[in-house]
Amino acid sequence: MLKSAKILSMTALTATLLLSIPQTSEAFSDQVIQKGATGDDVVELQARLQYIGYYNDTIDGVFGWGTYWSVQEYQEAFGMEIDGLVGDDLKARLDKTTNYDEQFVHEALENGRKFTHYGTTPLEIQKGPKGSKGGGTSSGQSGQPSNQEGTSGGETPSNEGQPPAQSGQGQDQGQDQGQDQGQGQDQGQPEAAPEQQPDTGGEVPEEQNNEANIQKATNVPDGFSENDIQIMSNAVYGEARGEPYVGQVAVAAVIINRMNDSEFPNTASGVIFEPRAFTAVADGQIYLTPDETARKAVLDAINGQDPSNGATYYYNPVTATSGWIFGRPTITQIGKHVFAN
Amino acid sequence: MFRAITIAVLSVALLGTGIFAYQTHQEKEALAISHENNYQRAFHQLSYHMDQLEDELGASLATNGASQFSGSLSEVWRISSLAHNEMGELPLGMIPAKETDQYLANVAEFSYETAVRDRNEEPLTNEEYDKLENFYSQAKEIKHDLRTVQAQALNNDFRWSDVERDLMSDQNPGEGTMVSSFKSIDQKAKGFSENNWNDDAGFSLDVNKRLAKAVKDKEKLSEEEIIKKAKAFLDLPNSVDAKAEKLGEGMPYKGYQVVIEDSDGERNYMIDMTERGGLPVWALQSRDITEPKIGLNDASERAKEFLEDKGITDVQLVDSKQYDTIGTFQFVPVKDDVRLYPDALIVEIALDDGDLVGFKGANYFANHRERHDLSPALTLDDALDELHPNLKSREEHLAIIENQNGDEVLTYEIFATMNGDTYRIYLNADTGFEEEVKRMQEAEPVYDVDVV
Repeated sequence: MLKSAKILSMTALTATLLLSIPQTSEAFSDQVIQKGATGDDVVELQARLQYIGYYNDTIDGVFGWGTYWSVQEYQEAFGMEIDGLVGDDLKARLDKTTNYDEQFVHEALENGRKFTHYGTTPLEIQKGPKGSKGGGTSSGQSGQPSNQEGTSGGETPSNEGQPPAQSGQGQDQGQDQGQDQGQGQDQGQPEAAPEQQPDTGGEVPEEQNNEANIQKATNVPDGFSENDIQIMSNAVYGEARGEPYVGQVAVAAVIINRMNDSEFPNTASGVIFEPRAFTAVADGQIYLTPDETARKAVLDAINGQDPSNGATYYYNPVTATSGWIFGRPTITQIGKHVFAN
Repeated sequence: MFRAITIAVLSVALLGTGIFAYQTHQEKEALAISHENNYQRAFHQLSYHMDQLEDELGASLATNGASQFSGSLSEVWRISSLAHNEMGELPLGMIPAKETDQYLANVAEFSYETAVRDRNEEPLTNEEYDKLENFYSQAKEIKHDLRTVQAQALNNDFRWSDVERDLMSDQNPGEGTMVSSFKSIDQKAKGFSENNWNDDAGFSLDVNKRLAKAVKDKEKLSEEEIIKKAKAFLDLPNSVDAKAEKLGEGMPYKGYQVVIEDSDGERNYMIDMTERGGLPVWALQSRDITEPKIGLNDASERAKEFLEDKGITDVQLVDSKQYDTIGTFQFVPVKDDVRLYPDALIVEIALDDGDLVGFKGANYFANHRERHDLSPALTLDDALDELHPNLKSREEHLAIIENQNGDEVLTYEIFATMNGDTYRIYLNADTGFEEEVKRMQEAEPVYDVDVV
């Protein structure tokens, strides 16, 4: 699934496109976007996919599972190789068929403001708290865009993969059966692309069920929340600031090794706040604000790096007070800390 | 007159200081008491739960019906977890209470495994029943001792804060104190935790031990050769400075930690190598990484090239994540279209210049070997029939994973969606048993407190 998808030629694409949107906003950068990526390109990708109804999750700038399936559905619908990679042809096609108001989306992203489905609805309307489902979008084409909220017009999959000339029709059908449920369909859409506007969605009085919103997000390793990472960064910073980077990773790894060890509590906070376990907890240094290095070290450790080689104890031989710890079999010394198990 | 005023002012000041000192003292006292109360609560709950644990273990010995049995076993599981937790709240961090912890963990593990399985089909074996009996008699003893300590503590007006202070100042608490009582409980528990089943498996869960076994017959290299190999692995010229130090005896295998300084002083590598075979266990580069210039996809190709360059071929990228300026990639070897998850490798690439910043190969070197049973008994369609009907399968692979018992099993790895959530399901490819079901974590929103 990870093969590059640079197969379809651009010219074929342009030729088959019935209409393109006149105003083209800034398109993607050169990179092939793949799952796990973050950043502006992902924001743009999600916004554009949402615009044409393939993505109903939050626009958050992180290429997660939801985005991955959306991309695959899009690729399937247009007969591209289904590999979940966003290459040149896919980007070009999105650029042609969708609108992207970079400034608006980014502003919303910065402010963490909820707004309704990103689509062809005029922005003034979208800014309202409730509102309109993006117009000419939706669901007619693929089986289940993002599988979300029952919005998909899965009944018309026969249009899948047809040349775009027909996809306009497909969308119309989709809307008839799809999530707009026949409300407010007669309102025209001034800004929308011609092929997408026929009978859709401007302002719909009731709140729709598609509370799509834009909110910034970050990648977090499996099984850990950003807040866990924060607590661990605090501990690492309190315990090992001034130590070499690898030494900080090792301290973070000890916390994780303890979580996996039956002798110790099995949560990050349980391990860290275990009475008398860490000096930084005892003397309050854990409440200092950690720096970026400590955070990076924690991420490295969570992602599997373990310079301590499985240690569950460490101490500073110069300052250690309790004698019994010297009796533990040492593994290695990094910076000032001796790691042992 | 002047004197009188001075006296008046001074006595007011004295009085004020006195009041202030008194208040501070009061506050400190209150804090100390609430601190102590937390310890007391954890301690008394611990002995209460040990009581309960004994009761429930006894009950599960006596019950016969499958459903009733399940009830008391899951109670055992719950209570042992609670007790384990309470151990963690006591200031025992400096005295070894490890055996008692281990005992509780063993009970929890055993009761969980037996409580969740279908005992109509798989009833408790005689061996397991013996084990349960064993746990019961051990619980009886631990409980008895703990109750004694508790009575002592209550009678002698014992304070945990005192223990804490003694431990901090490294005074050896003498005979007859709480600490020594706890130590003797722990000594007994040691006898209990030893007769355990984890070590009879012959296949250690500890990756270091596995690695030790894997390199046992390889050629022993000298320090110079190790350093040379380390530099070659990191694609560094032979001229850079490097130091090697032996790993301590806490490791099951002999190895070196090599520190390499690049001549410009900006880069700094650390890498652990095994003495036999000179295998890179892990490597990290520490330096400042600037603005990302290459995409994640690009970086993943480079990561793959790096591995292939080092002779690790036939790997597949299974996970990639971007953390600001670093791309983290997980690769697994693939044999006959089967993903070998126990042999996973981690490669981290800096997104500014595409350079390697992290590598972890311990699992690969410890576990990678020829595996023979790679053909499933069930077809994919059979396996998909076992899925919950609401799940829509999106992606399927064959994969070897380590299941909860630590055994390697051949499974179908299925990524499926339901209600907008993505799930990863491992179905045993021979029995259709759900080895693991996991809801995949989505990116986490930034909970920014400043946002209005």
